[in-house]
Amino acid sequence: MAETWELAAAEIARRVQRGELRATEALASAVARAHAVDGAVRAFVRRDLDGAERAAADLDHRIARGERAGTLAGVPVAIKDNLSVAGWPLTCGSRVLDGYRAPYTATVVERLRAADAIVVGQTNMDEFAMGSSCENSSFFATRNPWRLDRVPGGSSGGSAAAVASGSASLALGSDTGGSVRQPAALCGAVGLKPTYGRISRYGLVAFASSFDQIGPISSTVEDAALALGVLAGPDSRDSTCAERPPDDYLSGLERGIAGLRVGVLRELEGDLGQLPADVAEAWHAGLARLESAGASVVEVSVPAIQAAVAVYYVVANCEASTNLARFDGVRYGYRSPDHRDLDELYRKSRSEGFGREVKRRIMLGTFALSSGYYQAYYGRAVSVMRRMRAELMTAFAAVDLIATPTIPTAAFRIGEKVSDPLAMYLSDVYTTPASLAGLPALAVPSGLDRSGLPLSLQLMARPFEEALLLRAGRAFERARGSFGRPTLAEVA
Amino acid sequence: MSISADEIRKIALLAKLELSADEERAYGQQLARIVAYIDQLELFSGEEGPESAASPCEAEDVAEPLGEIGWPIDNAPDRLDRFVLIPQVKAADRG
Repeated sequence: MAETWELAAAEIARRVQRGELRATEALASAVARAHAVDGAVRAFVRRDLDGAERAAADLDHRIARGERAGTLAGVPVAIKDNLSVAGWPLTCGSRVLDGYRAPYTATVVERLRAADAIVVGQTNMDEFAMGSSCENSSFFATRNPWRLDRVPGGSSGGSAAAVASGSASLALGSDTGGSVRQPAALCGAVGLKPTYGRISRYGLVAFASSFDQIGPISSTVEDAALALGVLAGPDSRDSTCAERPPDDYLSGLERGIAGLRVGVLRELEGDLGQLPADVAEAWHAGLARLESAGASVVEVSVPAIQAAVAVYYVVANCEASTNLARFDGVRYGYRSPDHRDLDELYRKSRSEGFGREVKRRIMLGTFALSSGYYQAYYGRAVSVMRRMRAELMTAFAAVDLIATPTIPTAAFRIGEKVSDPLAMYLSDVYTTPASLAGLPALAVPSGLDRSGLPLSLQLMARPFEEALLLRAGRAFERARGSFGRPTLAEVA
Repeated sequence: MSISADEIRKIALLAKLELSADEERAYGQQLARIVAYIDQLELFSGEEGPESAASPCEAEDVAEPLGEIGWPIDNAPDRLDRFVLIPQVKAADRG
């Protein structure tokens, strides 16, 4: 019989709602699992066990009184360390926010709590969400639960590792160029980046405001649908949040994909030929599964997609260099003790507070925005981005979904790409297009490579077609069959 | 494309970062490699050249000393020498 921490979030919520499982029991199971494994995995930067126990006990009392429990009743949820919770430290994995406490609570956290989820703590991340390995945290590197010498991906690596290791049943991450989907893929979890504007970002610390989106990481597609139903919807406190009400993401989930058209990108064929053999095998097997579920696979062309990584690293870093200008040692967190004037206070606080990757990206963004280079880099990148968006929408006139691998490799070794930032950036080759176009995209585990590490298939859909995307993900999950979890036998 | 040490220092100044000599060298090499990769954008852009579509929001990046900042300091509700004093926003008890 499965331990409670092994259950999907939807199953925990069902049992708590029916009175078959107490919220305090579900929490105790997740806490015991975290106690057993998180010393090795290091998914969390801080936990709020007292607050979580109070919330779970309160929920149990309300259910005992006959009150109706919420959609995520008793589900232990972890949140990324860039989401505000009033009174909690908020550090974005950075020394520059040392000592800062959030003065208000993010809309997504309010909605989780209103749905009776139990928020258990904050997860590690690449500093300011800049990274693909979770090695850029100023705290420590998180490890992949499938194999501890491998990265969990990033930047939401802590959230993905928490779900994969069983320390949380659901987690929130943020995805700017793939930071929910890529770590979900490397950790064998499901990761959803919703349409730009689908989920409120009130309370999310900005990295690149044109692309940042909050998304759930879960062990099943049903859990992602459940979470999206709770999180999505208008928010008057975020002017970029769509007015459109959320759809019903659950009722059509089992309807299958017979008759749908799935596009594969002609321009990525060359890249796909370079994939490791087992990644390529999983990719082709994934397409065969979609066909066996009744979809037809057709080729589409989006020429500008070949420039997606280049466009992303210009536009995102230009926005990051301006968004992060506010961290100056005056208003937030860390202030250098060693300065003679205000200008030096700014420079020293930022230089001592930011880590290597954040400084590199601020430098790149500042360079691309500087006089003489602005049009050649930022202007040109925006122009190519617009062209790519138009080409993608043309492709979506012919297909319902577009499929790619989520990642070009399985989880790489800790330290393997630290000294080669460009190699690290190129691991975002399949995730950046949906970010640049604001499209919803879903990463679903597709199998294991020969060494037992997870691989993943990505599906993209038209804006606000998350219901279709999740339905297709569920059909793929069903065709794939049972996936399993890392045992962490060496530490548990 | 190569990025000179002077350019790296200028970018750092604009970004309000202070880099060690080692960092200047490392970032110079890494940014040059990244920018060379990004230069593939040329293959996908239209007819417009870098000089033909200057943005009106583009200003000269000229480093200037802070100098005298007179009236904002005079209007500040609280001040100390040349500095505006602001309420403490970080928690006293570090968590």
